[in-house]
Amino acid sequence: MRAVQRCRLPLTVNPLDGALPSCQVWQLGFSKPDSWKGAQTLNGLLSSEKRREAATAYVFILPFFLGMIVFYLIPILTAFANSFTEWAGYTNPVFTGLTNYKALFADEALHREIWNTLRYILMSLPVTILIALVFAQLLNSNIRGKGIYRVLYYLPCITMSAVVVLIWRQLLNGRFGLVSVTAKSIFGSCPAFLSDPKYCIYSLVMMSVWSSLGYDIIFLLAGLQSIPEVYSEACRVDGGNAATCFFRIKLPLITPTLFYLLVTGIISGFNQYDYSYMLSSLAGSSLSAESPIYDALRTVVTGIYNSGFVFHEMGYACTKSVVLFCMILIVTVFQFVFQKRWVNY
Amino acid sequence: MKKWLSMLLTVAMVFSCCAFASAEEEAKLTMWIWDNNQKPGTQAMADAFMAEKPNISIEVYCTSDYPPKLPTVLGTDDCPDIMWLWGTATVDFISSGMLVDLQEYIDRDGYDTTGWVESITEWYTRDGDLYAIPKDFDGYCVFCNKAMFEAAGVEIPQNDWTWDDFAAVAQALSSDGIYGYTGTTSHRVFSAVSLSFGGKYYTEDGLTCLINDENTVKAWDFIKGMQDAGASGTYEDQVELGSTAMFTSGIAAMTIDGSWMISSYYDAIGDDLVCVEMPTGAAGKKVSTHGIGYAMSSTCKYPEQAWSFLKYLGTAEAQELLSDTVIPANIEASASWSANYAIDVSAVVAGLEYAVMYPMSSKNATAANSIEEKYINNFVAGNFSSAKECLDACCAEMQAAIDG
Repeated sequence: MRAVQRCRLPLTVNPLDGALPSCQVWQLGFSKPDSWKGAQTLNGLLSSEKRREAATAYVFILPFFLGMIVFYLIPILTAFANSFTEWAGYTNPVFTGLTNYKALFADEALHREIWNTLRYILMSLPVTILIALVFAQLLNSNIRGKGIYRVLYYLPCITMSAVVVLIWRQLLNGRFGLVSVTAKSIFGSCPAFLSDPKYCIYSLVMMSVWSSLGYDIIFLLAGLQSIPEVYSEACRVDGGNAATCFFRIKLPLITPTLFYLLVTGIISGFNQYDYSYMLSSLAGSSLSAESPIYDALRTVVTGIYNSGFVFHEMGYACTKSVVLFCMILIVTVFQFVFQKRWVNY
Repeated sequence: MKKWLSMLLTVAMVFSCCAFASAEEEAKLTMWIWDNNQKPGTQAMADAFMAEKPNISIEVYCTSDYPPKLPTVLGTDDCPDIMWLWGTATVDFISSGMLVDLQEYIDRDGYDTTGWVESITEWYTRDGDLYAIPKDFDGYCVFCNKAMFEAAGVEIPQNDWTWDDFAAVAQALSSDGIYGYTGTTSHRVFSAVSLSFGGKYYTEDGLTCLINDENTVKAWDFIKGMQDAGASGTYEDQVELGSTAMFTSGIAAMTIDGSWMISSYYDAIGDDLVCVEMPTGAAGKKVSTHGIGYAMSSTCKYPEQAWSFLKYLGTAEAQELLSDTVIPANIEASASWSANYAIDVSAVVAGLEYAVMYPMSSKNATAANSIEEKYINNFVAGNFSSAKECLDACCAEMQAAIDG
């Protein structure tokens, strides 16, 4: 059986292979591992020796899978089951059938949350990827201190979200924040990013773009670096300028990386909780009460938290999580179906 | 051979995550609190108790995410044996059966329950059964910054002032960039003002919401009026700075806050801090107070030992150890409370006499409370043209939450 696999992994640079990444090497069938040759008998079943080898492999990955089943799979299934119940969280669940699902349609807060989440994704994701692409292209050239820049751009990603909110609260403060003081001296006035419900979504977007830029840059940089030099050279020889080289050669070749970033970006955008929750708390308190700011920033996950921990309606919170799951599933399936049109492997 | 060895190692790895506790005669109790300022005092109480009873060990754990965290562990083995209980939680959790009814222990041991402030004891009693040992009692007063008063040429107000005097003083103190009063989005302050104006919150049985009665409307209009006149902080300042930061950094000259803040305010402005009693309203002076109680979890494995610790926590010697941060519910211990402060706090002590417990519904209190906070925030932000419109909507939604 030829190991012709569609390479779904992001392109990685394999220092041993040199020019071509390892998964592309697989595709061409050049270096299959020896033990795979003759792995299959005539009727497609594994031989008993291979079966024993597979069994050993399963035992080795058992700890990881046990953890995944206990901490991920079982809670997910429990949440699905609990979405049909009425449950305060500290009492026993009471089965109520589809009542929770019917209540979804009348829930104004949920509609607001879904709209806010979609708005947030549409505003932050394209901006992040575009800026990351520009920076990755700049970092791809031979400039001094490339390594230091990479570290600096990646630092916001590993900063805890509570610290990020703290920093940006200082920067965006209407009275003495760096952003407002600078804007006021240049433009004369500055929108109140933290306290005006119309503008606070932009502070959320700013924070999230700033913190996820590094992650996107690293991936796009790896993607750009995996493109062999021969292609850009050929382009230049054929008379193309830098723009043509980028848009006609490089961009199509990094579409797998872009696809990966888009999929994961949308999934984490739907899961946005920590920034919007922390931004909507009043200065000096750690718990967020409902307020115009909270209303402007609320996302689906903050709504799930609200239902579960403030209103003690855990069953309804589980229902909302099922809704979130379905939304993300639909969007992701849609993306995978359409990837054939624009992603070049 | 190697394969068996490696499989054995894998299995050992999986089981290494299970911790086997060795059997001990010692009773281990956990206690949860949420205020870091009170951690040293609580630890001192635990240490004093452990010195007397060496076979009981108590671990004190402080978490600031207490209200969302506690419901997730209630009724499970992870639930703390002794926990702090607060107002709205008593309504939700006592009826769930997750807390131990202490009355049987009290009756069996003949424990004296008259040594605490009566209103707090009543608050934690349901159908004649006590569910929590009262811990503390909040006092409220108006904090004034003497230096800012002198700079504006305004006299420090006397204890017999009215709300109109309060508004006038706030206006006189306000100037460019400085506010007379910090303003507030706290439901404690709003309820204190409303009660002082003669407003009602709930019926006696706590099942019907009366928040839109005319006196409460007058009170809320009064608070907003000060804000519109520029005498108290805007909503933007509340969100970005907070009333505490406004008072400590000299942006506002007065703030209405609780007795637990006295130490922090003193650290910030020192001897310029003056405590004045709450102004008098149509229904007299009112302080909307609250007190924490120590409750025992129904999943506690050592109820007898936990009960002996609870007995100790209710005594004067124990509660005195926390009197540098909060006013103890134990009357004997609270007499020594004011000696802890360098400034005159008699205004706070006087306030204890007209303190009423914070208004709560008797069903779904957390939900009703959060709706009230939502309307307060929207009202201060200016999303309602009048207090009447706001309170009518608030009352309807709170009633729906109480019923549902």
